[in-house]
Amino acid sequence: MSAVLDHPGDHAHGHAHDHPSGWRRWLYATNHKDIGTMYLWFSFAMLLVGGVNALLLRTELFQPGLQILRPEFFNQLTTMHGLIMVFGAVMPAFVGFANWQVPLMIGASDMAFARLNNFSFWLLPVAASLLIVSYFVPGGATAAGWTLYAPLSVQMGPGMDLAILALHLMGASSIMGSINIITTILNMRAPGMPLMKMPMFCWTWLITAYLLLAVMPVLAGAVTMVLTDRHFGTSFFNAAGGGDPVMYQHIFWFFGHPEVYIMILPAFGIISEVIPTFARKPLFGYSSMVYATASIAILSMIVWAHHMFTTGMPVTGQLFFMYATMLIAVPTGVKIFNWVATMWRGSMTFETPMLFAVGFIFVFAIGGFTGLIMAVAPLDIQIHDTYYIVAHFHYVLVAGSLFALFSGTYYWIPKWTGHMYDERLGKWHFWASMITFNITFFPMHFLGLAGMPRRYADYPMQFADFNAVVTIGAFGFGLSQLIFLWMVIRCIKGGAKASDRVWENAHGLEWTVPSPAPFHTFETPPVVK
Amino acid sequence: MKPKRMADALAVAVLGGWASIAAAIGDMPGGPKVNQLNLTAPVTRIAEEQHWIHWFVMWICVAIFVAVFGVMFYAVWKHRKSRGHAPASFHESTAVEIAWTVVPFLIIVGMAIPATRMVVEQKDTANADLTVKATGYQWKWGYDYLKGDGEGISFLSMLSTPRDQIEDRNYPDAKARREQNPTYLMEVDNPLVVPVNRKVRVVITANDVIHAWYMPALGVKQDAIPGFVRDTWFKAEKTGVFRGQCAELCGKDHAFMPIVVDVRTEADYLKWVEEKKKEMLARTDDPTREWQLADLNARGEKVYAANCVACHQANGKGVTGSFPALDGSKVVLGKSQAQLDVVLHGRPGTAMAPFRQLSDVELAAVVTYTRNAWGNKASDNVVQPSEVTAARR
Amino acid sequence: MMQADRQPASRRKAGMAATFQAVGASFFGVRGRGSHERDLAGLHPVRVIVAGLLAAALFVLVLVTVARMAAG
Repeated sequence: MSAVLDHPGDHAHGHAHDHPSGWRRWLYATNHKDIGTMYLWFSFAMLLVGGVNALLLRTELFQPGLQILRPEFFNQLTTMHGLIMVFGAVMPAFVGFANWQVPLMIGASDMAFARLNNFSFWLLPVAASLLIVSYFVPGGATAAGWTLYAPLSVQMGPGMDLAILALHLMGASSIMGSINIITTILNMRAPGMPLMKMPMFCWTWLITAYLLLAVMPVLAGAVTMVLTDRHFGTSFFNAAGGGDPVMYQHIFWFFGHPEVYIMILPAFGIISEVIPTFARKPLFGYSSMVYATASIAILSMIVWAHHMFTTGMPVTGQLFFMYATMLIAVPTGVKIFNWVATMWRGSMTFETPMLFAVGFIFVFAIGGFTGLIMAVAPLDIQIHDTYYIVAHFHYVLVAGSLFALFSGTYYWIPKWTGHMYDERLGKWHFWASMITFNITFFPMHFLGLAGMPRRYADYPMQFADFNAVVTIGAFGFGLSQLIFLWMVIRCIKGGAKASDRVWENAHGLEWTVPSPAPFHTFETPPVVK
Repeated sequence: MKPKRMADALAVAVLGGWASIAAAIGDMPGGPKVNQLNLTAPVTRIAEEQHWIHWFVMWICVAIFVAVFGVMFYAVWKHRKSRGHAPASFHESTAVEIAWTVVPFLIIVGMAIPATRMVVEQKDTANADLTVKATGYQWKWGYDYLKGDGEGISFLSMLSTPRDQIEDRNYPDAKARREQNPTYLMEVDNPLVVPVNRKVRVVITANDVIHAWYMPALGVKQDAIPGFVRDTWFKAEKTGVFRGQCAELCGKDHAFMPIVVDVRTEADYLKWVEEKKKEMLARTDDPTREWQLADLNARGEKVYAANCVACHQANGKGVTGSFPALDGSKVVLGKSQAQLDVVLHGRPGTAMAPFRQLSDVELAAVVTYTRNAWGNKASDNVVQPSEVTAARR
Repeated sequence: MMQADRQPASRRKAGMAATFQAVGASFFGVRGRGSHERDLAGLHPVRVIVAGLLAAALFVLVLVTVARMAAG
């Protein structure tokens, strides 16, 4: 190990010899590409774990009645599905992209704090193990929903304490990751790359990192208060002791709403890289995109209570949060218009990254519109906590974040592995995902409008058909992701040699280095013209 | 009705030849229709307005959607390389961007105006003709008539769908039974009864964790928050039975605590009030009387089945890891005082809620029952209601 | 322009009006590239942050006032 630490600058000859191999390469990793790879594999593993949770609960919901699960275990599955997907799959995947791409895109040799980077990754498997172990403690995993609302979360068994600990670790990991990304972007750009020439992906990550810094400590505070309420006799959320259960929701959603944008802004960044490449035309309104992202970040901090319209806020509160929430639709709309304008009069080709990007815009917009519908407070009274909201956030998180992550993977994987992926597999993956996604989540809108509440282990007979359709779609969607896994494995093992530029119209520093990107890149900073 | 038939056809298409379960049973009276696509048919003005604003916002969204994606798919179709389209190079137009920022802003203002009016209306709980308190318990609702006709009436309202229709693992013919039950999971023993065309204010709170009182047909949803009181209101314009469910995750039996509101004519309502009051009077047990073991046991078994069985199970064995067994439990076999303490005050930090809302006789009966049921033979095996009265102080 | 961006923060001299204009643009979400470049060259980062906080407070205040008026 000391060999690695002692010669960080000794890159002149034979890179293959100056870093450890075998397990040491990964455990002691300080190279942004290795750490990025670990982040991506970790998040994919978590996607599968969270997916298995989802399929188990969808199996129970295939028909009315309780067939395979007890309701208390069902609640554990819904809770863990949420926690694992949000904190284990989506967030680390974006950090993985940041690790691989930010230094390559700004012409830096690595991330600013290499060992901090290592530490923030290795906290994650520990946190994930805590979550998974919690299934096996007495009482099982926490079943309070991913939002962990008090006082239900105060009632839980020791599984809840493990979940709180896991959230602390993942929060610490995110905060360290953000500090690293901010420092890298602000200080390590290649000469001649002012902020306003920076790729959109770096911009969105910069703003996301600030959001993370602002709100992850708030989450840590909220769950710590639950912890002390559980074990140390405080009563932050217990009315009998002078506390207030609704205060938990205010604190949680002050974190939770910016969190939504934390999971979507880097996705906007990826889409803003992919579309110009395949439209062979520069991004329309680059400056406005930057400002719209900033605008979304600012607004995201003052809309949290739209998750709480049914808690019984006073009229003024209800109206304030309704207005602010409706306003946030505007900058989001501007982004969609900008992407469409980028495609307009371009010269488009539709390789898999572009398919996923166009699919993203189309399906994400549906999620955006249902968001607008729910922002209307008097109407939200009807659809709050029903399957309508389940449909909405899967449209923005699966079709939004996840499709963008797929788009980015197909876009950059030739640079990572040095091989072209199998285009046929990619197209199969896209169409299978797109179709089964909609079969899974579109009928949920109807269930929600008809009044089926979310987090229900059983439901009236009249909801049976849509639930059966949803379950079939869910299995299809789950299986479609195996195509992705197969594509990635094949792309690592071999395939057509990728050129340096990979895509005909790809611009940006990452395309100036060889494919696969060597272990060390930009040891002498490139000069941007 | 056409879109509904399309939905049925879609269900059949995706499910293959396999028959639709929902269609076989028919619509639920006062509840969801088979493959219902839209909000529940309204019976209050608020719910009607919700329908209206839903369509209003929806059509605006559809129009924007068609316009934006019409443009996008036109571009996808025409401006592709394979058709030899050469890329343009424009990448900015501040005027266009200002236009497509200002126009959505104005549309949103247009949506906010009717929405604002509705929020103010929904929040106006003043001048109610009848005030009812709804209390969420894990996992049932309690109703107390606080003001107006029927003042003083109070009862609990529990799911009346029997477990042998729900649990396929314990009852092999559960499926056959529930397929005969059109109100499966949305039926209760004692519905909330209210008069038609009267403004009913519902004061909502909870005993243990947060629940939510959700009645789609009335256009009402309000969280029930332990230790705090919130209110909402409705004025039903049609008589009939209407059904809803708990909408906030409240633990194990979240899906099994429905809400049923029975809207009656003024005369029928007053008749019901009369009957209910008589019934309550007859049911009032004298807590000072000495009870026999057999009577307490018989009563206790019913109380146990209604309040305890969901967690501690009919065989008293509980659920390993989640809910402790009562059969052979040290608390149950020990001093009755300690057990009464747990039942009255619950165990903070666990799923064991306080059961203060039950009467002294009911508590004495259920405690006596657990001390004699299954393999239990506690030393002081009879607990009298008077002991509960004492323990409450 | 490249040089301008690399100027030390202390030597950037853009007035109050320009700072608030840039912050306002970021609230509105539209900005032309030319003005954007001027912003980046001329604005002092600390002043932008202060202006941003002030503008956010003002925005919240306006929205609360509108909500209060609407609530009657």
